[in-house]
Amino acid sequence: MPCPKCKAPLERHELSPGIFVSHCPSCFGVLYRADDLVVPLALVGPAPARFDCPSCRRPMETAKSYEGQIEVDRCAACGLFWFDAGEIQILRKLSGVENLVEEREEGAPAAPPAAAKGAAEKVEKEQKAPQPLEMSGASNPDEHRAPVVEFEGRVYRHFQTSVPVTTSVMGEFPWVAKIGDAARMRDFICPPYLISQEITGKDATWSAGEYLEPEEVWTAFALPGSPPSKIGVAPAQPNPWSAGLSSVWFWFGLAAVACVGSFVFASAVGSGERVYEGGFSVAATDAERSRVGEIFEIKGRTANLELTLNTNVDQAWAYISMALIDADTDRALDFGRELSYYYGSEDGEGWAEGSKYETLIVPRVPPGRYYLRVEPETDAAQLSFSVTARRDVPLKRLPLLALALLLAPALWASLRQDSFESTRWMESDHPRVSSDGEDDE
Amino acid sequence: MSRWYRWYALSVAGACAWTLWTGWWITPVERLTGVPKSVRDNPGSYRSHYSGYHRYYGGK
Repeated sequence: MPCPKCKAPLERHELSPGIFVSHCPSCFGVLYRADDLVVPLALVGPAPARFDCPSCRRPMETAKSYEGQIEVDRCAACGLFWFDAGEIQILRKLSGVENLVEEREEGAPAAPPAAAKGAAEKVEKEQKAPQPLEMSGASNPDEHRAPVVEFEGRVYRHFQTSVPVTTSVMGEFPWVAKIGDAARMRDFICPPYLISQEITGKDATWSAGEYLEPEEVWTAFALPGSPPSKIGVAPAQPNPWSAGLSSVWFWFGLAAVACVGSFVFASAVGSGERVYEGGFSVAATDAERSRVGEIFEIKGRTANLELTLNTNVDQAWAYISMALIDADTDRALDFGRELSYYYGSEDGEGWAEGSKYETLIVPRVPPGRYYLRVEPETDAAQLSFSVTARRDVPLKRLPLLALALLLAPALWASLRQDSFESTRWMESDHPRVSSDGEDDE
Repeated sequence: MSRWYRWYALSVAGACAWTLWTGWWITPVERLTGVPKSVRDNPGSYRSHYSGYHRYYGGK
């Protein structure tokens, strides 16, 4: 409904169960239902209408009361009274009545005043929300039970319950505001939305809000300069790291399946066939230590070649230079590998380092006829070793490496998101980390 | 983040599949040409790129 005076949208509040009042946040006037008012109003001399009724749009009557000390506007058809700003306080003073409306027990039947359909639905949902708590004691039952509120399809989690106290009052209010007034406030969040419940006596007032970025506020009010930087995390502040996090994990899963699938496929089609096995022996006294093996054939597509070296190094080292030479062309693949194996005991404890065995991968070997040329260097008197070659061997470490590469950023994003939430809930009644000092003991 | 990660994940998965299929690996290998035919009969006629290696004598 629009304000009859300034046409700003009226805001509805429930003063007690079933009793509603609409107030204008712009001109601070208040609209009451005549049936709800308990204060006597003897109206005298209806005067020309000042405003139209916000409900039926017909002209309202303007009449005086309390010997002309107060002027009220009434719609007899709708049974509504309009009080300008400040008139409520005057009426209280003149009538000596503090509570202008009837106090009803919870559950008492009360017809809602004329209101927009959306507002009525909103009230219905609000009434389904948790009931007001008693203002007794300093204990906070919400701290342990963590209630939730469902409103307009969203589930709001309890954030904090507190008891704010009025320390100063400025401006006019449609209720009696006194210094020392206390209320129990319960905040529920569903970022970027927040719902607050203010409980005073038997009254419970709900209000809904939405978090705005500082830049939006700055722009809306055309403020000069730039807003101050943010400090901490506000209760309803949206978590910037939540956006797209589920998508990140979806793509992680998809890519992980693709990697594992590639490995399974490569294992299925890869032959892993042993194409060569040969042995070599070199003595320290040999003038020429290079050796060549038998010619072997590699068939199929270009793939890797896994070479396994099995030596007899014992308290010795060896470096084996190898060349995989194409028997039909002048091409060669040149590589080498070091092995060493030492052991002993020190202070009664045995130790060993190195290995007699080594596996290396020769990448991207095209099909063809090859032979192996080896040229070892060693400090051993006699070095014997065998070489086994298998082609097209899928490496398990590849999908594992890929999974690690996929996991790292996804995990980082999740940790950032979690850290943001921990900071948010640290100031709530439900911090993620206990702050009672148990951790320090 | 999600858009970046989507391309990143696809790239990693693609690289993994390509590496598995082509047999690529990080082992340092010299691909040489012009190797004499006589190597098979006379292994000493070719010297490996990696020959002449001298290491520190290990062990405790």
